Amino acid sequence: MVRPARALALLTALAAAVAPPAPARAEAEHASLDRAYERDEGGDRHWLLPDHLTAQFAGNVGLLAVGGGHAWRDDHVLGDLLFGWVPESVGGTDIYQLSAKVTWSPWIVRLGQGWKARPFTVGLQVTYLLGGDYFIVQPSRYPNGYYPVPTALHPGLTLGTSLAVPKRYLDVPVSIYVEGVALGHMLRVWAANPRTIGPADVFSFTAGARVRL
Amino acid sequence: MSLWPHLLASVRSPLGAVAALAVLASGCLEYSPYALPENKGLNRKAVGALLATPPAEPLRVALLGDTQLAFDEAEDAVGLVNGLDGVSFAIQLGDFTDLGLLREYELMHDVFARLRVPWLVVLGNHDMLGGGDAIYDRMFGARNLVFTWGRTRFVLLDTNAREYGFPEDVPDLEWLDAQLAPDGAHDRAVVVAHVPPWHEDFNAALRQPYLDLLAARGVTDSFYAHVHRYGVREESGVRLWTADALTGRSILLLTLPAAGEPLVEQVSW
Repeated sequence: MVRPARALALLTALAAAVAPPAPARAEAEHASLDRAYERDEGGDRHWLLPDHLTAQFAGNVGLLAVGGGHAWRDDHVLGDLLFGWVPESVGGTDIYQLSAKVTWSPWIVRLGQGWKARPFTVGLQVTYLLGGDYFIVQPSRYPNGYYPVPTALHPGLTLGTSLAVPKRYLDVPVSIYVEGVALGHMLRVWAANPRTIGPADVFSFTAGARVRL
Repeated sequence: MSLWPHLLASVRSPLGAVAALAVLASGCLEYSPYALPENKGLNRKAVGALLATPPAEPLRVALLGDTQLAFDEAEDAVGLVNGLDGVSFAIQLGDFTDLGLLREYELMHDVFARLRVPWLVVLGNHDMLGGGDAIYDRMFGARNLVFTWGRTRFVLLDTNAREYGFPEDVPDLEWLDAQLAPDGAHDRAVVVAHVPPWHEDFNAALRQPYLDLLAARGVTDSFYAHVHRYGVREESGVRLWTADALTGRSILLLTLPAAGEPLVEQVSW
């Protein structure tokens, strides 16, 4: 079971999140003069077309994963669909996987001169492993309920931070993000083994970038 | 252009700091849940370390049942084995992991690495899930393994028949017979595996041939796990022991004196 002290620390951090820091509050109230991220008013962008392209390194989505996604709720919610690859030289065998991510930023902070930060992001991701070694529904050689967990699907939790670089530096609006990612199964392992397992055991590092289209 | 002030500003908020800590606390890079480790061959290395020492008298082996999801209990078991007198090596009887994930293998390995004696791991059915069997092959080595120490032949056998769809050669009785045949190098033999022969996950067609083989080759005691329950039953003159899962907080201790019957004890904490 998760220790009460750990739960209390987490609740305190969440409670502190209710109010962003004072400077950020002031900035957030100003309408930004930098139009770099304003969507074209009246542009009829087809809903199928992505709002951004994404590339990510590690984080259980692959050595490298590329894809794109959409932004909702005034860019507070970002969705990504990524196709990832781990070459044999790195992963011991060629691995291909599809990952869907939803990332929520409670607030977006304008830092001035076109810089924007998402100081805190939390997200969920699901990775689907392609290939016959994995299953969603267990094969017929097993009796009902033998393996209750699919081996092809791996949900995960992400905690991160992100910084948007003004267009003038790279000629395209890019936001870079870093996250700690934990597989859902490993979070369960941590909760069941608080003495031997810690956050460094279940969270791994990932970094990525989104290019606004 | 300096990026630092902007980066620092982005984590000024409390939860930004939490997120930054999560990132910094990230232990490692993970590319895929079932990415393979480098070739380690840990079982062979453990055997090498063991054979480099003169055989103990009596010979004592610690046998640990399913460790899946039980990292805290595994740490306790490691402490227990380290505190026991005269234990020469340990064998984990399979289901080292729950989903066969690379991270599970690595973390459980780190717990077992605190053992002060060589240790080996038998392949269990859960260890084979997804890409887990390939991870086992890299980390521990051959799924059937044999070595001789102190005039005793030890066999680690793959009996996870259901995982392969019940083929004729799991367990590989032809190979097993060859390992147990008299050759002047051993006076007795111990066979360990994950799935016990009386279980429905063992190939039913091979059950009696397997037991007959053990009996014919003078194996008096063999050890299994899988069922998460301590017990022993005798079939065809062979004692079939099962170790409890570590969540049951007990292990088995096998003592093989130079003369006399093997002694098997359940040690709890």
